[in-house]
Amino acid sequence: MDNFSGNKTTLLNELSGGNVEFGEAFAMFINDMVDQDGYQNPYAKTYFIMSPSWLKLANQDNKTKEDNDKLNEEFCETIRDTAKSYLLFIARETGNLTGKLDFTQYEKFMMKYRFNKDASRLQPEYLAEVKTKIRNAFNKIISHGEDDKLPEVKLLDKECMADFIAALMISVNLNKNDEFDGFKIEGSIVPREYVVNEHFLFEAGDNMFGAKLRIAHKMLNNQFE
Amino acid sequence: MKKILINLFLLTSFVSCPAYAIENIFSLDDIEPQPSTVEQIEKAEPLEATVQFDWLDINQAQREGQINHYKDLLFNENSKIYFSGEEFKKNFSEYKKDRNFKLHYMLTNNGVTEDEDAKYCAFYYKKNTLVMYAIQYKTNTHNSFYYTAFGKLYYVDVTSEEYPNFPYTSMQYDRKGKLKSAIYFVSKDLQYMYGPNKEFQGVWYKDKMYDKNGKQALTRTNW
Repeated sequence: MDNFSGNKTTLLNELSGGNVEFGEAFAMFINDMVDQDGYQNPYAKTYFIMSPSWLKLANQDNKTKEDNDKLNEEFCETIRDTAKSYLLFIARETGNLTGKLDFTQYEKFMMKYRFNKDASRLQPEYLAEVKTKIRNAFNKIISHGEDDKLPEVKLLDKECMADFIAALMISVNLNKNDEFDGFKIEGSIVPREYVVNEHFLFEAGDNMFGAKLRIAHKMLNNQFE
Repeated sequence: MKKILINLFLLTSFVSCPAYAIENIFSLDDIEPQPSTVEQIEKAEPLEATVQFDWLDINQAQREGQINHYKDLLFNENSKIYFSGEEFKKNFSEYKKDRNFKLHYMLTNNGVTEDEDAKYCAFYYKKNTLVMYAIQYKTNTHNSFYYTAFGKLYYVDVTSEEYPNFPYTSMQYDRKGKLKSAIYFVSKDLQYMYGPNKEFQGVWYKDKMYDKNGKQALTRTNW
């Protein structure tokens, strides 16, 4: 068996259960939320990741432990399914055969789908700025929000992608006095929130999105007590 | 519609008539509405024979007979079954990418099934996310084009000349021209499906699909 066949099997094993068309649709939805400069597309729609039944149960008061366990299980499963599908699409677009993206492949995808909405803008100075943003995003995601502690193996795998998608669905909870009161999980990605999340994703150093990535990582790996 | 007709009337009036002095301008209320000149074209129903569905009542040998009968109808010498890559590319190159994918995605995602240009069909993943949409242009009713969210061609349906009259055949190809499935449409309610290697996949009768042994295999919500 030649190397190519072996690697392709690795991709399918690594991302088994993923659906490339679904990944493409997901990419299309979030791509449509922002313009070239990261401003909100006024016509973009909220993308509902979780099912209506999940949303209904999540919005109920006085949930039991069983309810919360059920919510948690469906949330994790849906996020992982979405992450694998999205990665499968990116892998196809970049020629990746392992299901784990290196920086060059991630950059290639982001240049093609995120930063190519206005090709006339791609002058050297702007390109340099964009590449820095992509590098910051990659580092933030692969380090699960701790970009001062980059892993030895710098690959964006399905765990990293799941953290990213889950982080997009975390929003800040405010109390009656508009003060920070923890985080909450939404069942959807709202364009105006995506704009803010993306802005912080592209920024170097620790920030709100880094915090969301850390929370998402703990949540998906049952590290909350 | 009335508004469009009035606007059209005004436009043609504007174009064909000389300019008037102010004192010659008259109120729209004084103009009698023009009778509609749009002919009401009656939509002809496709020709269709009455067909009995007896798949569940006949014995296995008779089912095998029907399977071979429709296979021969689909895959005979005169059928254009397989395209070469070059031939497929030549025939369908203009449809390779849907340049209006954002519009078409939005239309199908909002439940639009038809407009003045085409008919649309939506395909969802887990009832939630639109992952593919199909377009049948009114200027080209013998082909249907299936696209992914970013407007990349995925499948092409090629129907026989008899369409929309029954019976007709429909061959589905992937974007490289490779045959994916072949369907014999006996009627709106009854179709026989085969794979690319002429293997029988099932018979659809209304909302249910049955395998070669008469066992129900799939259901569908729209046919």
